[in-house]
Amino acid sequence: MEIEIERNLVMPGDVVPCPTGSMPGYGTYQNEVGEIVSNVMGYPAMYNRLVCVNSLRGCYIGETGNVVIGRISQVGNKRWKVDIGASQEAALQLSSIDLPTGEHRIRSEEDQLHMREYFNHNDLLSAEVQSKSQEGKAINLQTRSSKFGKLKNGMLVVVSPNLVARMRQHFCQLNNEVDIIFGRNGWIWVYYNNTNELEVPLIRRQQIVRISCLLKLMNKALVMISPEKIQQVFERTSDIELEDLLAESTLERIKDIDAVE
Amino acid sequence: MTEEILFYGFRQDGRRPGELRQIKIKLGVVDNSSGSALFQIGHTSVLAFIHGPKQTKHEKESGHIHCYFNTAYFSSSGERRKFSKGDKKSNEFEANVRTMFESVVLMENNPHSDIDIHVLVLADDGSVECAAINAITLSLIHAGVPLKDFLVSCSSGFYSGMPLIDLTYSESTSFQVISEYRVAVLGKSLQIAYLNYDDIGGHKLTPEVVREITAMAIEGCKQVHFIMKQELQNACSN
Amino acid sequence: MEDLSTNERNFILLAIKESKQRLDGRGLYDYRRLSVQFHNKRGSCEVALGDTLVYACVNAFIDKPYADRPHEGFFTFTVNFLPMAHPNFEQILGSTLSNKNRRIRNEISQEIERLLEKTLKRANALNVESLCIYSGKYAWNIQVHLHILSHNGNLLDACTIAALLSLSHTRIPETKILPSGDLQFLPKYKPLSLHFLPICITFGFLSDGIIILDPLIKEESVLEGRLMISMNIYGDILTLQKTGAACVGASLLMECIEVARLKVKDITKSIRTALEAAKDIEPEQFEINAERADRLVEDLISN
Repeated sequence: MEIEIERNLVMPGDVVPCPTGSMPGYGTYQNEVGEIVSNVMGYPAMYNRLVCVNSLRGCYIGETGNVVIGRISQVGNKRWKVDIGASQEAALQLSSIDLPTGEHRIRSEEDQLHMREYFNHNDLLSAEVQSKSQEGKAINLQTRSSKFGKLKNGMLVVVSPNLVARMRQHFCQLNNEVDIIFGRNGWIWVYYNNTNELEVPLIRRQQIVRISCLLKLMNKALVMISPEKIQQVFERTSDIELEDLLAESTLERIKDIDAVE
Repeated sequence: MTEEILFYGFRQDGRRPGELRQIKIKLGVVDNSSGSALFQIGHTSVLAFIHGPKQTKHEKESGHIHCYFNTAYFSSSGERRKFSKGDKKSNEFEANVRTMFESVVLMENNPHSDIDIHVLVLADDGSVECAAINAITLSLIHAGVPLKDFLVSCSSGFYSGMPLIDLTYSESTSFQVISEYRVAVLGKSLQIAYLNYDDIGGHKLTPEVVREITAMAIEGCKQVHFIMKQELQNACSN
Repeated sequence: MEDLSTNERNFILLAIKESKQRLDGRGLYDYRRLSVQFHNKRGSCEVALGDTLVYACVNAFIDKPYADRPHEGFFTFTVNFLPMAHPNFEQILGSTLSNKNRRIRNEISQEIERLLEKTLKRANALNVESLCIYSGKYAWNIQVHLHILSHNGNLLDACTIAALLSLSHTRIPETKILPSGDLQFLPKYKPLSLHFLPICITFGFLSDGIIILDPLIKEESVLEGRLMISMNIYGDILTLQKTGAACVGASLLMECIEVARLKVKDITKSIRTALEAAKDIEPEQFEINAERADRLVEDLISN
C-alpha cells in the first residue's frame, strides 16, 4: 500500500524523513550513519516499510510484464539486441518469439539463418518484458502473442517514461479512429491499423500527425499520458490548425490539465 | 593597463571580497539529451548536457563516465583567444571530471552503462571550470542519474592579505592576484572532492594562505549549493 | 595500470590498516631510496626512485623568440612513456599508437608534462625572461626530455626530481653580441638560473582516511584519490592538485602540507648531495649549429 510522505521535493544528498526501521528502496541509499538518503530529485513514497523516491525524470527501469516498444540495434547469435531507452539494451531471444507458422518447437539452426526475416536491423517492434536478470539488470523481452511484433504504418513519439502509467489496455484506438500503442518505456506508436488498403489515406495521416504533436506537447507540459487525457487535450486544441499546433500558445492551454510536477 | 583589484574594499564589479556573483540556472535547454543545464554565474555561462546512462560499446564491459569539453569561439571576453579544443587544459579537465564524478555518481546502479558528459563554454568571465562542474551536477540531476550528493564548485583567490571568492576573468589573469584556486565539495558533508590550484603569476602560497582560501572556497560552495537547491525547487514546482 | 586480483587488493589494504606496513615493508610515510647517476654529457641523468627509472636530458640551443614575446626564451618539457616501462603498455595506448609517431604520448605522460609545466615554468623556477639574450633576435630554447624507462609507481615525483637534476646539471655557454649583430659563444660556461628547487610530493588516499606517500604501482591501483603538492625548501606551495574519487576534509589537507614540508627538506638534501658529487664533469664543446636546431624543430613539429 502506497502512502506518500508529504509532497516535498527531495534532492540527492537529502535525508528522507521516514520512521525508523524503514528499508531503502529505489532512488535511495543508506549512508554510513544509517540514514536513508535520496539519490535523485523527486517525491518520496512509502510502500509498507520500503522507502522509495520517484524520480521526476530518468531512463526507463524495466518491470516484468510491461509492454514496451523498441528498435533492433543488433542481430546476434540466437537473439536480437533491442534499444528500449533504458540504461542497457534489452535482449530478445530467438526462443521468445512466435514463429510465423504458429508452430511450437525448438528453434533449429535453420531458424537462426532466417532471423533477419523476422526482425532486421532498425525495425521497430512491440514486446513485453519477460524478466530482468539480477546481475547487470539486463531486460529480456518476449513477443509471444499475436498483438506483439513488428510495427508498421505509423509514427513513433518518444516521451518521458514517468508520464506513461500502467493502463488496463496498452493497445487502444482513440475516438478519431487512430490506433495507438503505449510503451511503458515512454515510446508511443501512433498508427493506422487497416492492412487491407495499399496506402494510408491522407486524412488518417493527418490524424496520426495531430495525435503525435499533442503527445509531444503533453511531454513538454509534463501531463500524464492516457487515452482519456489525450481526448481532453484533443478537444481543447481542436480549433488549432495542424501547422500551428506545436507553439508556445498551445502549451499554455494544456498546462493546467492535471499537470504532474 | 593597471587596474585596481580592490578599491576601498570593493572589487572591480562592485562586490565585496566574500560575495558571489549572481547565479542563474536553466534546466532542460537541450531537448535531445537525457538531461541538460545552463549555469550562469555573473557573465560566465556554461552549458552541460548528458547522454546516458546508455549501453557501453562492448557488452559486459563496466561503464565509465566520458567528458567532452568544448569552448565556443565567441566565449572569450576582451581579447581574441586561440581556438582551444585538444589543448592541455581541456584534456586535464576532461580527465579530472571523470574521476571527480565517479565519486558521486552511483555506478553500481547502472554497472554496464556509459554516461557521456558534454560541456560547452558559452561565455568565459573567469571560474569557468567551477561553472562547468556545477552545470554538470545540475544536468546529472535533471537526467535522473542517481547521485550520492551534489558536487558544487567555487573558485577563490588571494590579494594583499584578503581572500577573494568567485574570481572574474580580469582578476584571475591579473598578476597581482593569487588565482585560481578551485575547489569542488560534496554538498552535505563539505568534503573536498577536487582541488586544483592553477597559477599564472608565479605566486607562492604559504600554508596559512592555503588555509584561508580553502575555507573561503568551501564557504562559497555552501552558498552555491543553497542557491542551486532553491532554483531546482522553483523549477520543479511549476 | 595494473589489474589486481581481489586477494592482492585485500592484502594490501589489510597490511596497511592493521600493521601499518606496505608491500615492500616501508612505513606509511617513507620514501623509497633515491639514487642518481649522471652521464658524461652535461644535463643528462638517470634517476631511480626504488624501481621507477627515469632518464632526463636537457637540450639547449639558440632560437628566435616569438614576435609577440620578444623578451622570453623557450622552456618546454617532453615526457616519453617508453614501451619498456611496463608490460601493460599496449593496453594503455591501444590503437592510438601509430608507427610513424615516434613520440610515445599517452594520458600518463601528458599529465606529467602538465604538472612539470605548472611547477617549473609557471611558478618561475626558471625564469623564461632570463633565457633571452638579445630581445627579438636571440634566446635560449631549453627542452627537457624525460624518458620513462621503468614504471613502478609514483612517476610524478620521480620525473620532477629528474627534471630538476638535469636542469641544475646543465651548463650553457656565455654569449656575446658582436657589433655586427651576430652571436658569439665564449669558452666560459654557466649554469641555468634556477631560483629554487620545486619538489612534487604525491599523497595517496585509501579508504578510511589512510594516507600513504610514494605509492608503488600495485598500491596505485588500490588508491581512491591522489593529492599532489609541489613545494620548495622555503615552504612555499607552488601547485596543489587533488584528483580521484576520495573526499577529504580541509583539515586533512593542512596535515598533508605539513608532512610535505618535512619530506621536501629530505629530498632537497639528497638532490644537493648528488649535484655536489657530480661537479667535475666537463661540459661538452657547444657548437652553434643553426641547421641542427631547425631540423630538431621540424622533427618535433612533424611528429
